[in-house]
Amino acid sequence: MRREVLSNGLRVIVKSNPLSPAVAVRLCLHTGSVHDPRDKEGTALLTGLLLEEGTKKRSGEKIADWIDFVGAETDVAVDAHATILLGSMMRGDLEKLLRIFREMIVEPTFPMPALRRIQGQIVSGIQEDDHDTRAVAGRMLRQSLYRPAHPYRRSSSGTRKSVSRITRRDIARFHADHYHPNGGILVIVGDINERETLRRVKTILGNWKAKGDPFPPAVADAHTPNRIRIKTKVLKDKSQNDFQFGYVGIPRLDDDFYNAVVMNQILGAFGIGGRLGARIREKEGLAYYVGSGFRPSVGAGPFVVAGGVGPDHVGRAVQVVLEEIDRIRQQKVTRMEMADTKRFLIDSLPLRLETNEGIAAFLLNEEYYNLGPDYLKQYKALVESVDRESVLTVARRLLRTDAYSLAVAGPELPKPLEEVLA
Amino acid sequence: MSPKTELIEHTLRNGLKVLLQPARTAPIVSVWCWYKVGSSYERPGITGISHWLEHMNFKGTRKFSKEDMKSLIEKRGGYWNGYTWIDQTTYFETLPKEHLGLALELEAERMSRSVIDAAEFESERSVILSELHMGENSPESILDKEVTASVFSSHGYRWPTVGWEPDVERMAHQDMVDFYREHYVPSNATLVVAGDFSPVGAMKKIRRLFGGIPSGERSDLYRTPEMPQQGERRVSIEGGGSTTYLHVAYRAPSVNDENVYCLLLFDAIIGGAKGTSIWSYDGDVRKSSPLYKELVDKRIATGIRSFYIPTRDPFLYYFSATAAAGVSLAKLEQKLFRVLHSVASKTPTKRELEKAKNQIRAMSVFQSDSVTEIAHQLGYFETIQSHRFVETFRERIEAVTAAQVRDFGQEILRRRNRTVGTYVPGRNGKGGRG
Repeated sequence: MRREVLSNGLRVIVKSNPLSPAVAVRLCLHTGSVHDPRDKEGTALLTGLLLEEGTKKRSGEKIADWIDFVGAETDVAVDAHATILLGSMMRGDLEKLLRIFREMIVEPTFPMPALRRIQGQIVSGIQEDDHDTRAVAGRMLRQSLYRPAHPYRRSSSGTRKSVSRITRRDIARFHADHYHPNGGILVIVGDINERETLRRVKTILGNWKAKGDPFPPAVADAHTPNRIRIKTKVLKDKSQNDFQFGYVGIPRLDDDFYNAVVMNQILGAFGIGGRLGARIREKEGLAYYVGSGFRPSVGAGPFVVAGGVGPDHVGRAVQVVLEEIDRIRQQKVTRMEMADTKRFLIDSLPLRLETNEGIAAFLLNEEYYNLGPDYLKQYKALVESVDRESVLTVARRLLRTDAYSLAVAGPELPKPLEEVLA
Repeated sequence: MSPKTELIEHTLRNGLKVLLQPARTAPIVSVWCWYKVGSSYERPGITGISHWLEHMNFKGTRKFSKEDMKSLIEKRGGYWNGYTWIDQTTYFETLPKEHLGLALELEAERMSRSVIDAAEFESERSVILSELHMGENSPESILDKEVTASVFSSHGYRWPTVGWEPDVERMAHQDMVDFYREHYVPSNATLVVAGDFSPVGAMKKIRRLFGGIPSGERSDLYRTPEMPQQGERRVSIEGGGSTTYLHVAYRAPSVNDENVYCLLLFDAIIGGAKGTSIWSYDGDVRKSSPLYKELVDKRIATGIRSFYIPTRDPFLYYFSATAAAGVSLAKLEQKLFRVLHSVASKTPTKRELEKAKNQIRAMSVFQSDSVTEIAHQLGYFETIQSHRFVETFRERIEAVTAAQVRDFGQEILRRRNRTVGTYVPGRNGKGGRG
């Protein structure tokens, strides 16, 4: 593997993996929905989705035709902090794809018809989500956990109104302000010659001019509201409810990250949904899916327990969630739970690093959070350092039974949840 | 440098088919055990039983208790799962190579020594109903179910894999035990191992673990064939939300039909190649395809997907489109058919055919970069026909001519071969907008 920081600040990582004649590319820029102008939420996403629609050198049609002619696959993903261009292709097509990526990020044209079409697609997606129990519950939970100005309160799609307000001028300004190479990360993994690939990357992207701050702005602190908040939304024609229950979690670089990873596995992820799955699905047969997860990011993303349950069982399912949260806060997890979870987290690494895509995702994460070149070696020790005490401590820090947010969407419930949970 | 070496094929005396594919992508192995039983082998009254049985096979065997099973694979750094579809039920473990023996043992236990406890069976009923209701929360999933049920009158492809709700509510424990005994026998199964392992050592373990399982009687694979469709069929659903959906299903060739390759190329030309793996299928059409350019670029639809995967008997070539704001269903339908017929009426140009073949070639590389995918494809095709489908796939695709693609496109897209489904929001649904 080779790593080099170009003079414009772009960090480039190339890794040869000759086992497949394909190549995976990730180009990550530090611009995301945290930069959305007020009342124009969705600008970062719309800008990202428009990149493929035309550049000064090529029309969107030509770009799509070339990508499809060689059978490559490309995508653009936008979240709160990052815009990532993704590509998979046969090895012979790498250089041209990198040239097209450069055109897309440096000299996009944002054609009007494409802007109107993608606005329509985003709004249509929001309308579909308005009728989707899981999406509605997720949105209500975020709104309950984060204050109005906090970027994690909303999704990168924005709202129907905010997306409709965005003009071509807004997009061009957003691009000029936030698309620059310094601090960006390019990862290339596959059947490549590392030295030669690095040389070509320098030729193609080396003269892209640096500008502005290299890293995304810090995210405001967030804390779980100090009381119980319950929100329900009735969607009459649905067959069952989705519930989302949660807290404000931690940032990725929090000292408790590995403690929280282990705690989350035991509570609601390991095997078929951890302790929550064992009780709610396996023992009581209340739900097909239930589990916990958290999204540590630059800032404190949410820690969420989610499940799909019939209206008669929502109250019972949430009671069990509260009982299990109480248990993991009151008692140390068992020695066996600790040992099994650590083995899973450590011994599953070869599975995560099998494919070009898997290796590229791992290397990007390592570089994005500055985890250091020895991260792969340190990872085992970091997981091993978690003990039963530290899991108990992090559970007490993150989870409470007297202050949480709960959002439920779906058919009308037979009794108000406040009554059932009292 | 290809990580794969030659495929090794064995059949044990009890009829178990074994496929061993050494492939050194990483120090891991993937074990898949396939049964030639899926929802289409069921009968009214017990629809959904194959899928429910798959759930039961995660609830303990005579050697591995339910408690043991919960962490058996994960605590060794692996992951495992299973799925049931119309022609098959399958289970897999992908894990560090030193635990190959454990994965094989688990599959041997599942084949002959699953517990299927009566109380666990009852407890799982509500889990299955929850899974079924989760599907019913999605308008497109409801429409898909209704369209499929309208296409098939006699064949078991008619009902959904999860089953009809009244059947799931009434099915008895003894039905499940009988079904398990009938179908989970070596002569009805294929075991696939792919990854970093020694075939000689693996075969020794397989003989020891599976060799003693009685052959059983091979399942009766007969299913009532579907008679030719006599005219267009239509189904319309009304419900909540504010989005309009159009689904169109054409009866499609089975894996045994030479036209499979023509259809895969036709679909690549009209919508873009998506590969032949149900495990990693993404139906979104590509941006340079006629479907995208005519429907999405022109803001008739906000999204369109197409689907075709070879199956044991003739199943479906399926399109699903989401209407753009202000576009009527009639206009969406008219435009979709116009694109389909316009592409089918012309012989693909040399470049169009080359582009379609390039896409299919690249997809088959992307979809075989992990031992999990390699093992899946071998087992999937062995279960519905033969693993040789995978070996010969590329050359069969290369051999198809532009005229063959055109001729088959015209044949499959005949009006009398199609079923049209519509979902219209806000009329007589159980409540309209929520």
